[in-house]
Amino acid sequence: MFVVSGNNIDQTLSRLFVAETREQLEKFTQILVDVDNEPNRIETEVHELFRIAHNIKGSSGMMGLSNVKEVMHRVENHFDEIRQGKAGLSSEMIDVLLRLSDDLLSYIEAESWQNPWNSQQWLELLGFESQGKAGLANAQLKQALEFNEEQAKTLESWQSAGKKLYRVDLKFRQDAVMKTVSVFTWKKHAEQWCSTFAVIPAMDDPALEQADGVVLILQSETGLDEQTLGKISGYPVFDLEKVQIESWEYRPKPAKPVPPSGERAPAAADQTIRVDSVKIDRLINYIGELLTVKAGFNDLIERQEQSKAVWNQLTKLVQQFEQITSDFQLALMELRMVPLNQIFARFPRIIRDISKRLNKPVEIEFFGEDTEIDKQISEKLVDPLTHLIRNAMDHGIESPEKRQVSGKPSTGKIRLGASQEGDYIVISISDDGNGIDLDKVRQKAVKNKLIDPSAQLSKEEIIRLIFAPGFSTAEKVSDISGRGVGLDVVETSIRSLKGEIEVDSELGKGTTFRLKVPLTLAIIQAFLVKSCGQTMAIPSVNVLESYAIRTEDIQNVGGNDVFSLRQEFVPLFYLNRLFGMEDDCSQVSGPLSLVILNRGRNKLGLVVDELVGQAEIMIKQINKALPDNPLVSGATLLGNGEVALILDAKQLIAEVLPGKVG
Amino acid sequence: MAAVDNIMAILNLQFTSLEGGTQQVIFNAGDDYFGIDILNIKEIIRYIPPTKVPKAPVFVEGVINFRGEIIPVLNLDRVFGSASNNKEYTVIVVVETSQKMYGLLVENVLDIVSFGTAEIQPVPEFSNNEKTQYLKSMAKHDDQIVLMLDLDKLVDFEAVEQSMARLKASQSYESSGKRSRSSKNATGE
Repeated sequence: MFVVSGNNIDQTLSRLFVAETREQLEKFTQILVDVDNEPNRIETEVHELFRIAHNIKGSSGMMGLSNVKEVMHRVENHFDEIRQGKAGLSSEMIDVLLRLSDDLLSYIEAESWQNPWNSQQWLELLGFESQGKAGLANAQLKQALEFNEEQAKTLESWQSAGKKLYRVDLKFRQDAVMKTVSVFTWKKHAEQWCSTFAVIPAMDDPALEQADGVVLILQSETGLDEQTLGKISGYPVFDLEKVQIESWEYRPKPAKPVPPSGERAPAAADQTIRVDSVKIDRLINYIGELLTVKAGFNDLIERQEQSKAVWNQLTKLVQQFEQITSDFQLALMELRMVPLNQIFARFPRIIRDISKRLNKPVEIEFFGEDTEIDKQISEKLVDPLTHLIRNAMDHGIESPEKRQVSGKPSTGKIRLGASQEGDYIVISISDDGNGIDLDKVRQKAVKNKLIDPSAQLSKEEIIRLIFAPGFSTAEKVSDISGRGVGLDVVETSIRSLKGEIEVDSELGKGTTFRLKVPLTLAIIQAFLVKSCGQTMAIPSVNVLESYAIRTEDIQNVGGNDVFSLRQEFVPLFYLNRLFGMEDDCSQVSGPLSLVILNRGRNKLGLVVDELVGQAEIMIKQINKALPDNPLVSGATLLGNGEVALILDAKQLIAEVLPGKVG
Repeated sequence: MAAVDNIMAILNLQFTSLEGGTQQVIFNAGDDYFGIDILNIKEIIRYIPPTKVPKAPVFVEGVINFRGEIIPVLNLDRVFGSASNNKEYTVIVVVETSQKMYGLLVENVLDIVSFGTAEIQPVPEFSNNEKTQYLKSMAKHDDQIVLMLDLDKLVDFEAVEQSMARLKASQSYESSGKRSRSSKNATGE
């Protein structure tokens, strides 16, 4: 076997291989799931499956990963047979291929090329064991041997003591019976010269009778000579077709558990992005334009004069420069944008797995999957979306029997889609399941002491309870969604992306979750306000509207200032109080400026000295020398070089209106 | 102001040409002379008014933009409880320690001094350790004690706040006997 040592593979090449193979395997998985749902699609998709297997075979060969190459060669052959109509693709085979794909992906993502991929089980599962074609080392075909810790220790100690070990492969005839007896007889014979360390399967294992072959590990203090080996192997035992003895060495298996299904542990965030070359070309064009402007500046400098004409020319150049740089910035941000189908594509697989486990047939439908989103955000959406989909399948969609009773098609439906709304992407996940049972939620919340039994709550307020930490409506903990984490985790992760989550549910009809997340984390639309002479930014998503009000419009209710907004009392908060300065920094006379913030159903009126207006701002993190400040989510640089803090409106509301639900 | 610029330019030039060693940038805060290891200094910049941060500890003056990075600015006088409002800060010393970057508000940078290993002494255990806890070591320079700052301790905000509270308690006890001392005329001449 050819093993490439880690340093032989160039890092860039390695990354490229990983990225490319990951993409290929994801496609592979996706097609297989599609084919499983609609078996007749195999006729058209088999070519693509064949091509992918072929590509991976080629690239892994280049990387010197002979095990991968070998398996992919088999897979490729299999698809070739399907292509020629000589074979079919069963659902079991799809299962095997899906697991194979997962295992290969986790092997490749580990990037530890010095450890060969444990391909043995896949060759066996693919049913290639007996073929033993040229090019495949014989040893690889053999059954992988597993030893427990104690056995492994014994073997290691023997080996270090210089004792010799032999592996014997006994192969039975097709029609063999009483294999245990045959093995016992053979073993007795062999033990005249050596001792038996292990029989696999074990003598008392019923599997032995079913096995095509048995492996024995023999141990000898001094080693056996050719003649003795001949005597041992030549011993005629009934029903034995073939006996093969070779000296054997115990090698501890690299610990690498194979995950059972598609839900692999998330790999470290991929740092590379595949970019449409059109986007790069656009950047190059902008650079070209910038160079022209630069030449213009040089030209002006060389003229060495101060005249009206030079001034006009300079003004024009600066304008051009501004235009190009802002276009350039946009184009640069575009590079980070990836279509959402890159993450949506993995869900049919997850749904297939869960669907099988729960015995609930479910189909998934997509819309708006071409919508583009910042790669950084798209990666962070995978876990919340997976969670919501699991939830929908586990708690939302009913069993086929129940569905039939309520007159629904027995196959459940999940719709996953995205659309752009201004600077935000809204991703919605709907199921046509049972919906959220408000009474149950309420009871549970009372039981968990989240609310008072007498509390008067609106439908929305009850639904929001499902996001409370520690809340779970499922009666029993299941391994699908009940992992000790609730929807509060989903909400927290969406909030960390400066997004929002909304739920809409109708009992008996289904539930829809809407995740509203910004297009990009780097630039947001913000509302700029001034207080105490300092400019501050509030993300526009949290701003409902702004007003100029008179002092007379402010009413006092129970010691708190409120403003009546369309028959609704909105509590007021004076932003300058945030800095512990009551009045000494606001010399505002006349109308007050008011910004209405909203968070769910809670509103807060923020009184500021001045409304500056809307702007696109680049979010900058504050150096970690300053500990996390919940009220401040970052900072941005204004055109004049001033640093403006970005206020976290939700925290501000939570601070001012403590004790509000959600 | 031109003089300040000049000094800054010379100092910044020196940073780039120095080859390590125990060189300290000396400045005064309150009645004391402090030193910062030159290796921790990113740059000395002219004072720019920091943007105030709500709910930040009092010794944090705010944040500034330093080469595109938003960093907090600390007021040492406040940490040592000797702040007065009519001080004129002229420079901010930008330091970096344990991957954290922050600015120290300073009236004036006085000098850069090299100290040999023999000159540096450990900080004796004073009964009042509110000030000494921020010190790494000390040395003598022109009959002046130079206190060398431990920059990591200063960004442990929680500890600083606790210590400030203790300091305040002890000061109010002191000033009940005598009037609180004014810490003016402490410019570097």
